[in-house]
Amino acid sequence: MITTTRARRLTAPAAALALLALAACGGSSTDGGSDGGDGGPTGTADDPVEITFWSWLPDIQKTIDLFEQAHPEIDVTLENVGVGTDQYTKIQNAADAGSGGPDVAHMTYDAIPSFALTGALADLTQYGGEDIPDTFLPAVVGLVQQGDAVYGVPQDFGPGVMYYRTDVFEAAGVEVPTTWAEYATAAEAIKASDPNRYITYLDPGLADAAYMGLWQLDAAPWTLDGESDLALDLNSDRALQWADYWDGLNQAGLTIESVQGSDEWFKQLGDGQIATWVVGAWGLQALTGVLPQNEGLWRVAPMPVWDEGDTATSQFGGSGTVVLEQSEHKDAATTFALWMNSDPTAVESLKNDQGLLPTTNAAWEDPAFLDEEIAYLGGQQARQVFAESARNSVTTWRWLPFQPYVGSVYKDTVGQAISGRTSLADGFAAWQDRVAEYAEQQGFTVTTD
Amino acid sequence: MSGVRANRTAYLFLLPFLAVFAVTIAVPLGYAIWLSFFKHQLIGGTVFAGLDNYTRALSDQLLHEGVGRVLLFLAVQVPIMLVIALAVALALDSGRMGGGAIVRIGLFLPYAVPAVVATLMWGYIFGGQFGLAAQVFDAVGLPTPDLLGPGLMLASIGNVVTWSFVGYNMLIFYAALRTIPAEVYEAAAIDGAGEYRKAWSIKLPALRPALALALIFSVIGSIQLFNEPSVLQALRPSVVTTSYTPNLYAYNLAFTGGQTNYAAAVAVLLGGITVVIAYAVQLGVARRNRVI
Repeated sequence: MITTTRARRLTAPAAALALLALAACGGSSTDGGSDGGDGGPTGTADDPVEITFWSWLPDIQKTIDLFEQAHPEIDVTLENVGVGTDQYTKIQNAADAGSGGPDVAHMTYDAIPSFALTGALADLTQYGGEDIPDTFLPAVVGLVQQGDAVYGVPQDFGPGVMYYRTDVFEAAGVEVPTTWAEYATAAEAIKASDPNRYITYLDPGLADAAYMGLWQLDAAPWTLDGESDLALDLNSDRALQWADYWDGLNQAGLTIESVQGSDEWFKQLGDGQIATWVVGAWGLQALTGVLPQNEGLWRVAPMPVWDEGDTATSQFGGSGTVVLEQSEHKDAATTFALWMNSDPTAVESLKNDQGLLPTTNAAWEDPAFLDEEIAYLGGQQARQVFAESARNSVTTWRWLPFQPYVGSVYKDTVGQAISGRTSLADGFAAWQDRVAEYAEQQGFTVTTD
Repeated sequence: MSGVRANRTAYLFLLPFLAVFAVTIAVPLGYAIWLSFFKHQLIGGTVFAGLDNYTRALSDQLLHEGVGRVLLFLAVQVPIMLVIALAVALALDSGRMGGGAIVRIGLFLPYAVPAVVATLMWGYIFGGQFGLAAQVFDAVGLPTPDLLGPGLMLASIGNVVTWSFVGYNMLIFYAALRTIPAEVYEAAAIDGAGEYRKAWSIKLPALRPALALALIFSVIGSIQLFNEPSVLQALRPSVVTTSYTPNLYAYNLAFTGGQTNYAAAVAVLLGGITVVIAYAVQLGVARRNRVI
């Protein structure tokens, strides 16, 4: 498919992201073949422990090589069994069978809860990962933590920011917005300056855009109490605040319908037809990779806020490294997962070889990293903006154990309202109905407001 | 005694076939049916569900809409495709068309293009502001219809499928026409029949079995519509919904929703519908044969 091919050519975070919507639901496992608290043997340089690592990141072998130099007692074999859904299906099959899975795997944040719920993932605090909550940014720890258990090591993330075209804003004679109200005003000015220009696009299939908006508003559209009590609140005042806002822009024709990641969409970005892209910080990788001719035209600004003085932001995309419960080498696996995502050498390698944004507190305190001037953005110190967003990200967001399903029916419900320019609030109501129906079929006790 | 031994030998010879048939056809089919009697939940695990999945499917609005959509597709696209294929086969067979071999290969070539690639290509042609279709409409000063919009998506998919399969069906018809002995034509010519008369009274009746075959293949293909809508979904997510065709629905149930058991029930029902329609087609053709 166009989008997937394109995304694969971009960068790992972007690829991971394009696949978020497709990510397989785990959800048909009984038990992961738990073998108690034994973390397995520790190897020696002469007789190393062998572990298997499933990842679809290109060039991740470079980082693995560095690990094996630092830890000769552990031997890592990399296997790429497919991107996103493909890999998750295989992990699910292995979990069902009780064997056949890798020791360590790459996994997007939205997929982690479903595998954790069905017992397929190891709680890393039992195998040497007890410092994870202190080592990594609070903004991402919540995405891998359930209660006191930690089911993955954060690898990269997408703090929400706004990329914008300086030339389009100059032509329209309007200031870069800092609030959503200013953003709506700018939308009108841009449209007035050229009827073929839009402040941004609406993608009827991209649930992530709604997640990002609800997350920033701390709307808590779903709350899981215990294992099976699910409260759905996609019709809350906050959810409707987001829906009504975009309804207004959509019905006034100030946005254009377009599919993020498609060829046409990149063309629209490149031509200045789409003036802003509110997205995870990794968006820079996509712009740099696909639209090199745009160098110097784009800048980054904080994601607009609802009220002046607000600082709350949210995230879009990202993934972690998980250890499987069925692994016989969970200690070694955890050592590897931790090292790969937190050792300064590894973080440097992930940044340079993969284009990943680090997730450790230490990395975001390093002035050399924060102050680097990004040529594509006209020499802007973009990571300052990323860091601010990461600091202000709402930390209460949680993914559901069947998030991929929730994302997949967005196009059937909210997407219909976007394309038909009908009420997004009705779209949200329909979305909630579909999610509630599914959750009940899956045995959850569902309450809706 | 000797009769029994002969029977045993016969079974021995049948064994390789039966073994392959069991492993590749009977077991997967039986497994799907078996799965369809269970229910798996994230909370609660797997339980026996009896016919629950089937009763759910029978009252599933999304499934009904999908089935309705492929039946409409079947009713419109299949006749168009087969008539075109038939016309071309007759034209080629009449021997009056120049460059027969080139036309034959040219028409057959799209069948060799994988459906995903074909759909991507047509997606570019139909799609958006920059597609070929938009440029053509622009050039003649007409507004471009939204070929991938809710109103025209099914027709556009029909266009892709017709493009892909006209050549394939044409080849079936053409091969059937080539098996008609030359003497029949000679006799007709002596009786004073022209080309049209020959086509009507000799070729079309001779084509009936081939037509039945092509029709049954097309019925199955239509009900199982998957690749084309699945690829176009990436371009227009809100038009091609998760339940746009029954097969797409079953796929999403199984791989996005983790509802493998319900997806199996949907698949079994769909298989049943296909068998019924294909059988009806076969009966219809056979009965007409008898009348003549």
